[in-house]
Amino acid sequence: MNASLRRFLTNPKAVVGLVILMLVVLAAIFAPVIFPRNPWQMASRPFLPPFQDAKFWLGTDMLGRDILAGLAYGAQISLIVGVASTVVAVVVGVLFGAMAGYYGGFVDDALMRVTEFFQTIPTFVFALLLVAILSPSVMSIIIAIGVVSWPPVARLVRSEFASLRSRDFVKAAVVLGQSNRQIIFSQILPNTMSPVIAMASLMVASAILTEAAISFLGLGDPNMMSWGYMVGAARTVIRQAWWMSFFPGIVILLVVLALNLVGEALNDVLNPRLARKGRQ
Amino acid sequence: MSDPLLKIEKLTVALPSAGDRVNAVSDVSLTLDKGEILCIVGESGSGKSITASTVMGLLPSDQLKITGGSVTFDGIDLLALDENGMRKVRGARIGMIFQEPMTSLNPVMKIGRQIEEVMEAHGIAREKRQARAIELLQAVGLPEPEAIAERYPFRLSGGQRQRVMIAMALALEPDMLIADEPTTALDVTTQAQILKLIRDLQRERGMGVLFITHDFGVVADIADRVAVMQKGVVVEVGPASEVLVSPGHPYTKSLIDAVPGFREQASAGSTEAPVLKVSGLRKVYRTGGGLFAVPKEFVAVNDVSFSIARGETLGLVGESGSGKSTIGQCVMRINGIDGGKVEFNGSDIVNASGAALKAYRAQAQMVFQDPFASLNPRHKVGRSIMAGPLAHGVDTATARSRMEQLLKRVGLDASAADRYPHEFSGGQRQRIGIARALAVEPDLLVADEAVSALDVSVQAQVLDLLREIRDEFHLAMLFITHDLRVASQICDRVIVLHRGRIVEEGEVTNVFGDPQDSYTRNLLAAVPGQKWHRGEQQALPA
Amino acid sequence: MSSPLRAVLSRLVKSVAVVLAIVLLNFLLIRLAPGDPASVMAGQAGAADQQFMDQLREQFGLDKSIYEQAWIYLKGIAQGDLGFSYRQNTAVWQLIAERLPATLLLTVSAFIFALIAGVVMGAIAAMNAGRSLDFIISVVSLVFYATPLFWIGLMSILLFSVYLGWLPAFGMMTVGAGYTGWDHVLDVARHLVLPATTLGLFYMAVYARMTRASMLEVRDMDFVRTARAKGLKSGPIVRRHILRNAILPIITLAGIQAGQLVGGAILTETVFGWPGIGRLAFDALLQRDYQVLLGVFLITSVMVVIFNIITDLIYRVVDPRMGASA
Repeated sequence: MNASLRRFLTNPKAVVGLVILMLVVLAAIFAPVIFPRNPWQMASRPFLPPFQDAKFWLGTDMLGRDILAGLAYGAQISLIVGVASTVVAVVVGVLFGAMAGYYGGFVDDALMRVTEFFQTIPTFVFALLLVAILSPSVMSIIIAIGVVSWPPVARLVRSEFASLRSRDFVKAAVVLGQSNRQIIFSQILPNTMSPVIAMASLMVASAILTEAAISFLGLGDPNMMSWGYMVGAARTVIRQAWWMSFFPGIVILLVVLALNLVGEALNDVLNPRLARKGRQ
Repeated sequence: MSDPLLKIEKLTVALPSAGDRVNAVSDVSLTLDKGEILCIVGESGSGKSITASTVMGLLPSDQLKITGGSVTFDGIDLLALDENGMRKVRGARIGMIFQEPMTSLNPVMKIGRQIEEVMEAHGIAREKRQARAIELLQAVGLPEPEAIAERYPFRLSGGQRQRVMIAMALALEPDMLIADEPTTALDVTTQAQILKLIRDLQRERGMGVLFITHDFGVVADIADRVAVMQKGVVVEVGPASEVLVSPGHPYTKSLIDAVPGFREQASAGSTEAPVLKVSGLRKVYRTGGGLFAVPKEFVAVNDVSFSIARGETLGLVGESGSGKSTIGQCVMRINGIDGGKVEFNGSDIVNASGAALKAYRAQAQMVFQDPFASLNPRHKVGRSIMAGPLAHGVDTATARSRMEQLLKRVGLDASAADRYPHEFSGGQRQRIGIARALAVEPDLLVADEAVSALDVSVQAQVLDLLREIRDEFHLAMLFITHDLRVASQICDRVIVLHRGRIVEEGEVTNVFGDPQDSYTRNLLAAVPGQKWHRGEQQALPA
Repeated sequence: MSSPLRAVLSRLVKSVAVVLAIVLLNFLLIRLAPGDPASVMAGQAGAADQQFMDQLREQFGLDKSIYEQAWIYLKGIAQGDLGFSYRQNTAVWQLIAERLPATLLLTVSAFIFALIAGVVMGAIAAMNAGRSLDFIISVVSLVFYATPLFWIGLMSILLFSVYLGWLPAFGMMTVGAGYTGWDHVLDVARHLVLPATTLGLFYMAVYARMTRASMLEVRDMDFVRTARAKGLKSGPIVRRHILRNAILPIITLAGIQAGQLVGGAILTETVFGWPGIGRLAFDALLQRDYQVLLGVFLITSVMVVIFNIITDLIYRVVDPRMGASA
């Protein structure tokens, strides 16, 4: 593991990704310290362009709210939603996939029909509906994104389980008299974790994108500043104030990019066989 | 005398750094004449396939670099050719066939088209191609060539696909054919047919053939001359008749000694009461059932009965699809069954569950085929071996001491316990697998192709180990193999299976020495290197 | 029954089952919403008076058991009744039918653009793996993969409409110009460029990454070595052997992603004021007009199911092994 960790930390993709993520995490944690003022409050004159007032580097919006402060506070909800919904999706997906792949037959058929169903329905529309019906809040957004993003995990885990299930070392464990629980958790699951971890970091990225899109459409948590909301609010005044939508978008792009880089680096390190293929 | 067709001189191919060896192939010099078959024989990692790929210009250039030497083919310096020059040689003047017929053909292109492609690439007129492809399919002995040409590869068996590969390689009547382990993935009867085909075509067309193999039996059947490679170096070259009968190099000698032959002496057998009794066993696989499809049924095992006593080894032999491995899995309760009985010490196993099944798990154990897949890559070796005893309630200290003893017994150091499987060779892993099976102190050991993936010298050692532990622990052993020579070495009695049914059974020297069933006779006749084996035995002092 | 026919039939039955399940899900979602289903259906903000609510209760049998309610709902859908928007005072089906062609035009153009551009980029990257061209393509596709779609839309409006003035930024045609014939087609096409590209760029990135990975995997396969041993030129090797096999997983992926494409259409249509069902959904979202939202959800789901059937059929044609295994 130590060697893997070293390889991960010396991977240029991982370094770039981790540095960006670190900055965002720090911004989210220290937002209330750096910007004590409520980000919804007016801070200066409306439509202040960026790089003109040293106190408001990135300018202000149509209500005079500080863009930079909004970005710092927005990091909170992006990270919370990204991580929490991924945890939900991974737990559900691993459970479904493990059961389907391990037990096969009828269990597999039933669970996979459910998974296919959730993969068929338009995920973003479904997520929007859920948030609208559950009424917009951080919680409902987390649930909605979790509910629509577990199928790929389930499919991945299922195929890993199904292939490992027929491996000789698992047959050996069966023959040795280990229980199903032992075989699932100690023999098979650890061998499926590397691709799941790599996939999870990509899922955090797409959850952040989805959260931004939901907030952009005006369905975000009304109590929390979010990047998507900022771009959405700027949409109608784009001709007057390009910076209002430009900076939040750039931040989303950077964070999602960073998570993808980390995910790819994890893939390089944890699944070296695939990665080698990729590099040749 | 004229120049040889192929002349390899002082060829050296470097391995990527950080290997335990600097060169994959070093200072290799070989020649091949027109109309001659040269076999390069060696174990895995000997560099034999790399040598062949170098001649064909198919080395993965980002990993392996040619650092010295020359390859001259019919006066052309192959290593000096650019990619386009080499391309004109490939397929037209040198044909090549590979080990894995199942994956060597493009799955989404029709057979006929794949053959025509060779001709297209070398400028044969469109009108001539189709007829020629049919002609070739006929020449390699495929039935209904017109129909085959219109099929996709997945409809063909492995042997048929290898014939297609040969047809493709011979499409432009090349002067030389390179065959890289072309029969290794095939059943023994198919292997015999393909070997005969290659030999016949070679004589008919006067080609030079560079034939790569690990099997001395195959060498004996096909080679005019032999080159023996070890760790990237050619240790011995000479006419097949000399090298096989009186090898000059000690390595060659040790390899030939390790080749299993047919045993002459009848086995004493066991007089004890049987521990495992299988009667009327039937197993059916169903595939492809659905809303509008009736599932296809495949009867894998049909009315199979046998019994094994402690201290005895029963062999199950047969080709792929004979049901031999399925029987092993049914006995081990990895698979359910569709009819018949499996009894262990008089109690039913098929419907055992809970404590009864668990008790059986401590009495019957298994050794698997693939040493790379049979150990959990994330568990240390010690943990893998202790898993069995711990699952059966043995305390950790006892399990640990048993594990350490067993590691020593199978010939490994006790320190192996703290290492991961990838740090061991195939043979060592197979020993670990045996230790793991023994750790629960079983009465019955099922060995499913347990030595098939090993090099011949390692194979002999693992067979010895299995024989020793059978006697030492007084085990009943069910030995499943496709290799009749191996079965003859280790089994007391043997059952010959064909398409899920028993065609013949009995004491091993009786069955193999005087087969009664025509299928058994075919199977035996197809074993490579028989004349050589017989000759060798005559040469030995009585 | 011949096996392809059987496969198509079983596929159709499966699809009907999926659509039924979606209808049931729809039904459950209404009940999931907090408050009185009647008021939810009428639009939460209270667009409907008591008379409407009573009418609704009767129409949906809200006083009856949940099973009967489900049955009534199902029957309604089967007769093409997607409900009534009290906000817009129009049948939901009519609202959707009016806007569906615009959405189809947008999504199909975006999809075709994404597929062609993505596969070409991925193939070029794979064939130059490890070189600078590969690096550039990989970076470009990674960036588009990470960029929020709505933001690309806004930025492209800023660049191509506001600053450069090359392309229109809003709507599907020039209002009041009254173009006919080819002028009309050209006008729509000009309006289509930005939204279709915006929607397509993300998927282009997805297909490019997938194509690259798939081709690199196929490149190492035995049959490609066979093709080289036959003396084929690199052109035919790439086209007939590598790309032909590498494309198979892309087709599957395209089928799976059809659903997301529709989701993206909501964002795109909102940004560009494209008069499709995405725009309709956005307006319904703002007004909490659940009947319309659920109708859009149902219709887009059915679109995805149809799209899946099409990709399935294409796969069957492209991969000869499929016909036999079923």
